[in-house]
Amino acid sequence: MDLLAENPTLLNQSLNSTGPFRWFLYESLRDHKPLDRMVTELILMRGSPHEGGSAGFQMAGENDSPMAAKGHIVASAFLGIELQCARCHDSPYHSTSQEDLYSLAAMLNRKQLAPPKTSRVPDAFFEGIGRESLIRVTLKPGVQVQPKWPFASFTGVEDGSHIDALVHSPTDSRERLAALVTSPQNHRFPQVVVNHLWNRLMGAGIVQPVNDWEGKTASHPELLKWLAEELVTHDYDLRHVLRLIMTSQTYQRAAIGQNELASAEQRFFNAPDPRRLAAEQVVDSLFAATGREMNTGQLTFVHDGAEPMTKRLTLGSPSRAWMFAGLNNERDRPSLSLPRAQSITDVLEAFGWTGTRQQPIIERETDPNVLQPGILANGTLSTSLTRAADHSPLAQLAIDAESPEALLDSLFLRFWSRYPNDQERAEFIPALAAGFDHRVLPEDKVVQPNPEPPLPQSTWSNHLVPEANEIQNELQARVIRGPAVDPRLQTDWREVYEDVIWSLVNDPEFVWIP
Amino acid sequence: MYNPNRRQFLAASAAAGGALSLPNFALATEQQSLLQGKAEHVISIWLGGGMGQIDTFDPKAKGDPKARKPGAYYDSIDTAVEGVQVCEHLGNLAKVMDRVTAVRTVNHDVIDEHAAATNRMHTGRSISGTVTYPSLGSLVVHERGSVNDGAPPYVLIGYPNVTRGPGFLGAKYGYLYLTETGRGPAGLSRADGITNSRQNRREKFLSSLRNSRRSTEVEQLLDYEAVVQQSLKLSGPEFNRVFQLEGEPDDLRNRYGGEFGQRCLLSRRLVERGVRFIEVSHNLNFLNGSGWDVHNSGIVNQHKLIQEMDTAVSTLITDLEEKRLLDKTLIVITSEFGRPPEFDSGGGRGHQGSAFSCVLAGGGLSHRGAWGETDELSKKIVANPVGVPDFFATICAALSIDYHKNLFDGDRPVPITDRGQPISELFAS
Repeated sequence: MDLLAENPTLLNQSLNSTGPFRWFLYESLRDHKPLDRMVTELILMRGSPHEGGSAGFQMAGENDSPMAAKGHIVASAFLGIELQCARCHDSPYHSTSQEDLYSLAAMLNRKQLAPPKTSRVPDAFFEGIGRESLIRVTLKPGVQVQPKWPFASFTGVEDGSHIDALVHSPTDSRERLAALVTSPQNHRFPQVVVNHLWNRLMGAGIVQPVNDWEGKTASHPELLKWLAEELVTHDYDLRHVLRLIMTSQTYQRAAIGQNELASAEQRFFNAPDPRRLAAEQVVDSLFAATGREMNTGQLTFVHDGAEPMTKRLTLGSPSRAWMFAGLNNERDRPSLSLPRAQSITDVLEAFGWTGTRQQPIIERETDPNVLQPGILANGTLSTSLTRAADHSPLAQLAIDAESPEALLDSLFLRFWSRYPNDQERAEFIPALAAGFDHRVLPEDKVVQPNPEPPLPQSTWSNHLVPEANEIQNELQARVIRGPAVDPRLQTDWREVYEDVIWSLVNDPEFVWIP
Repeated sequence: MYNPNRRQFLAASAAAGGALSLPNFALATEQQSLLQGKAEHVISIWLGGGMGQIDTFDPKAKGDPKARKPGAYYDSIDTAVEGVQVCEHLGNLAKVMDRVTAVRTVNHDVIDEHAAATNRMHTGRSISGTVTYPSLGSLVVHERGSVNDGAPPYVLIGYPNVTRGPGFLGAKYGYLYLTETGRGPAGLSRADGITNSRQNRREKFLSSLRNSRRSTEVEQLLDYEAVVQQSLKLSGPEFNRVFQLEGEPDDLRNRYGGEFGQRCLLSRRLVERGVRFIEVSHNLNFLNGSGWDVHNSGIVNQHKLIQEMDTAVSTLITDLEEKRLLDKTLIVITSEFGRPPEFDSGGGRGHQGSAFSCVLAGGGLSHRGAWGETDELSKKIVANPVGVPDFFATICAALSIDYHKNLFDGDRPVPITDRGQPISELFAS
């Protein structure tokens, strides 16, 4: 979704909004679709634009040349050719030209197109700089660019009659583009794909950066070639390559590598680089370890369905972190806030996720910042999830535990996937043992919490009614307050237990891959 | 088109190393000396929805919504600056207009969509298909950094969104946000019910875990451990004291007024604490139903919004002045766009981007009450137009930021404003 700039917008279309083609991607991966087929279907942009088909990929809100935007994405994500500069002029540090991008865009467009007026460098720029410019504009204003495959030299595959056999309609340039990108003769595509996988698992690419290969050296060209051949000869099966990498000795070594910043000659891959969990992994791990479900409700501003999907999207009820999107409260109205979802996107954003993907995101930022530990230590989501809430799995775990030792083992396994070491046992078992035998209150001392009354639904059609603000403010207060605690547990002991859980979530081991 | 000669040439130059050094996109105007103000902080007040200039800072003869006769909705009053009038509901600001300049000729061409116009007014430029531009707040903290290490550089009091974000500058220049003044920013204020003794126990457990494993030499992990400690410090009582408005004198709190006023008061406290840029959102739509977006009947209670702003901002100006902070704190009031003099069928107003008012106050500028002139209906600009880039350049200049410099999105130079020129008259000494 990052690489492909999937950017569905809950409210009105804004810059580079797309349809929610996340569902197309999700189903393709779940169905174990070969990658060449998946990419072909993506480039063909078919199905429903607003309800999840790959047609959603062809949209680009407020962009006056959507196909140029998509050409840029296809080239960088699948071919390692970066055409950002070529939107408006020939690339100053690359051999690609503005015409290359628009030839590709014309292929997607199925007919000739002209660069829009906004994608021109104003003449005043060249007059103003007082020296020879590094950038050149070789396309004349208003010129129509024909659909033409511009990347034969990069990819090793020429457009020709051999492509006719791979397409339904040889005159359809979009089909031809899909075939050229995914043709087995295209040696670049599989290499770029396996490099993405390697980069993700090892924390550094064999070629860096992964989206821009021109003039870059591969640190291990034979490995790259072999992995690419494995992909092609195994029906473009991503899982096959993932398995090869993950079962390798290299991958399984302790993550102490320093490959990412090394030059190609110095990048030895003696071990993977240390990697922090991705934002979505942090959130999904929090839910998985605490055994709780995401109950954010529907991601939409039209719960009553009073507006068509073309104007107001619904993204369903998320059950995993990747299902979120930007929450778009540019209007700053409490009545348009989504407090439950916000508590989750706060964590996602702190860890480098971007809900509004106006441009393809090649590499997320990984620099640590104070909000990352902060949002885990104090945030609404982790405060709620680390609580021994009423009838939650963590509360039940405490009630059912046979001994403090067994309870500590369960917690470590849940949160860190390992047993505590001796020192950890020595530190934590006394804390949990104090009051352990009396942690469960006798039944006559249990006071059941009062359920909160349901709130009316605030939605687009009533959001200007003053009451809508009050409803959402009350909802926000409830979300911050979090669920009631389990009344069966004795308070002092429960708080110690919750503080142990809190420390397991807040130690770096929770978010770093060893 | 494929051109082997060009490709070979570039490959050869790249190999030559250093042949393609970073470009210096100097502008011809750089020879002129830069205007430099003395502001250190910005409090940027955002009026979501679109403040109608004709009903606030650029008043004209009254119209009549029933007869659909174009014109102002309210009477006008004189201010401390001779010849400068404002609407009758800005009575407190009128008294301090000599510390204020209403820039009456801001203009742009985005009026249909609030989000798009919000983006224009936060980034100061049109969108482009290939670059995500940083917001003003991110630009300022990128150029000026934190005032001190103990405070975050950029705080937003309002809902998070992409237009307020750092764009290509990266997360380091983003904001911390809060949506209510009762608590600190999300992630840096302790959850309710976590007493000091619980927090101490939590931190004790955390250090037990740290001490029970082999110490690491992996740099990334050490960096993360460092931010864990930093975050514990920032979310501790020392920094969070700034959010406790109860410590302020009751009289002052009352003078600031309602929730928006309390946000302004908090902004002053954040300035004192060393925050560089604060954005305060004012769109309390429960006052009139629609906030500043006064279509149809939203206009009936628009005066409540205006009065609330008047109370809060005038108090902010005098309070900063009393604390000797006004000259180093630039107050900015902006909005998506203005509103036309004509009334819609419901008696309210649509959108107008061709001429509208944004406000500057304090910040050590030579204020003149108002700048720029519009016609008798505040519809067309008559004198001294100020483009959005010019307005941004004025803010940069007030903070001594070189408004001609380039920032870099990777290796691509991006002028810090879209070639804006500051309003030089505000820098006359």
